[in-house]
Amino acid sequence: MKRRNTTPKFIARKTVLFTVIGCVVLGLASLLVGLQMHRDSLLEASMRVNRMTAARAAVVAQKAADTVGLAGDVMGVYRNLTPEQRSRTGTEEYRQHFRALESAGSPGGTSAVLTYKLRNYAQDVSALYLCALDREGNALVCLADTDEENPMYPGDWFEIPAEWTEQIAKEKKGDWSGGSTLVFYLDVQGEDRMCIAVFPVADESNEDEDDPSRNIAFVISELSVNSVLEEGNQYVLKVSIVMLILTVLIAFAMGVRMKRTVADPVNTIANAARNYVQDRKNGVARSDHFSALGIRTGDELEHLTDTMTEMERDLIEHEEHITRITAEKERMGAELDLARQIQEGALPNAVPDRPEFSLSATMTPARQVGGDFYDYFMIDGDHLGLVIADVSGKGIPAALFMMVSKALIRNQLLSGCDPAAALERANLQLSEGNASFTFVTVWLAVVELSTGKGLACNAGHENPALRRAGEGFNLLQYKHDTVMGVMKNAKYRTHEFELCHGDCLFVYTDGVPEANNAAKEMFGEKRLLETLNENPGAEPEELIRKVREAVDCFAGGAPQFDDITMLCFEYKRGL
Amino acid sequence: MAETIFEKNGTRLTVILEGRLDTLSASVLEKKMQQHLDGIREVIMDFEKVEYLSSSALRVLLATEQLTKTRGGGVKLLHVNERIMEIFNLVGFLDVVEVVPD
Repeated sequence: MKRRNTTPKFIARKTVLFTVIGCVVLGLASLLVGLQMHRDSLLEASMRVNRMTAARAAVVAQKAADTVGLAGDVMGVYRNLTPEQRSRTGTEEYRQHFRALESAGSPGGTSAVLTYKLRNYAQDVSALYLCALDREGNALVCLADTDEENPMYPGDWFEIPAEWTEQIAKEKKGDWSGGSTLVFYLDVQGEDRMCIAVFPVADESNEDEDDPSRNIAFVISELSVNSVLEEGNQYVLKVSIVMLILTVLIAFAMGVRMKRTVADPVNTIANAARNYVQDRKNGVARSDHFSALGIRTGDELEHLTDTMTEMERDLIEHEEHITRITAEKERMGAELDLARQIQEGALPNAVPDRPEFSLSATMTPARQVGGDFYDYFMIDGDHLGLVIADVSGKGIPAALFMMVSKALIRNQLLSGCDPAAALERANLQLSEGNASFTFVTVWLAVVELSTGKGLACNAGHENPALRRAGEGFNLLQYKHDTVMGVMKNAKYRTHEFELCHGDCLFVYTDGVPEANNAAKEMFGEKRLLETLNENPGAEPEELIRKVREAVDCFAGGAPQFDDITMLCFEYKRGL
Repeated sequence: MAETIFEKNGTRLTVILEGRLDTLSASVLEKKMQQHLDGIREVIMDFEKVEYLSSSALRVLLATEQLTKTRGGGVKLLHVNERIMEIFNLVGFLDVVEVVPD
């Protein structure tokens, strides 16, 4: 029945596993979700920062420096350059053209001032610079650039990238003319996304607001999205690692806790149960297998332990009870055996040795003691008394009544009175103090042996079977008187009969016709007669044996339901 | 054994029996009768569905008859079949209880 002797360790393992899996899944899910949300908000924030940077820079350029003048100066020089000269943008030679300009060249010039002031805003973005627009050349001409490593110089120009123009058109964000600001995203070579914000700086002295050339310069702010995301990713990664470590720690902590609070107590209880069984087998008397565990967790486990403790006590009580009952039962069994001996002893054994008759009788109780009896005795030298009786019920109550009624009837008959009077007197005594309404059916006869004449009484008993010499058995049918023991003043009648040589009387109790088999069928009077008539001339002992066999055979394995009693008397006149 | 039905109507108790009244069911019947016999003078017992009657059941009948007789009433038996009539005949019960013919 035991598959293994080791204590199972599954709850703790399962808990750890499931907690880890659960937390990891939860962690990953929240990570990804958080990452995505973070990314999105980061991008939005970056766009805003970029716009604001450009906007503030534009205000600075507008109010805090002479941008108009600078733009005018630079564009003036620029326009006068030949295309060939312009193509050398970025070189020292090219820049010389513009250094001469006070506004653009000198350290205190407008360009320098702007560059200095704009640098305040440049930390949050990747690039921040101020340009003028060369509409015909579709180019932007630098006026100031906050880049510190490799800045553009005033006059340096670059063609407006086609991607910008495309993106602007795609997003319908407006254009370089007019007062609108431009903010758009670019995918630069598929590697990075640039967020570009463009804010115009206007010549306020030009009152024509619809004049496209009112905007004399543009602040351009560039922000690399990747760089922003990269920062964010770093942050999230750090957080994730910390969370993962925490998760694993928590998982193990939970596993340990589960083991301690659930798995271990359960195993302890299981072991206690096993010990209980072992101890019982080995006869060790302990009653505290479960209470000794001292489990006081205040939860279902304590409840379980308490319940097991109760159950253990209950079982022990039950065992003691059973032991007492078994001892009692054995004692009663011994008493019943003795009672059976007494009852057997009370029934007559030796048949009076007379040539006038042969006689056989048998009584088989359904339980250890029964309520049937038979009796035969010489009343005087010429008269034989025969009795057969059946007390209602079975077992001890019937047996007690049986002993009394047998004694009363015998005494009355022995005192010499006629059978009816004997029954009436016996009945009176039986009826007194019979609160249980136990009754007894009785058939008796007194036979005058010299003549074969007899007197019979029937107090509610089965019809006797009679065989005249040379014939078969038949039931004698006549009206019976009532049973004995209940009706104090019952009256009984005597029937006269005469037996001839070879006549045979067979009397029995209802245990014979009412014997049943497994199919609840009854043996019946018909089968009784058939059995008797198989060999009607047989001796009484033989007849009784045959009926007994027939009943046993008929009943099969079914238990004997009622006491079975038979008495058979054959008259042989004077030979 | 099927359930015995008891119907009380003033001082009259009607008992409808069923099945085999062997020793065990007779003792059950006895207990139930005792519960229902308060203030009852007349008992009517319906034997239509009774298959078999043991001596223990006869005892219960007798006890009921005696009890109700002391109260000035008695026991009446209804729908008694042939087999059971034979038994009553045999034990001389017909002098004691009243069997109502069908």
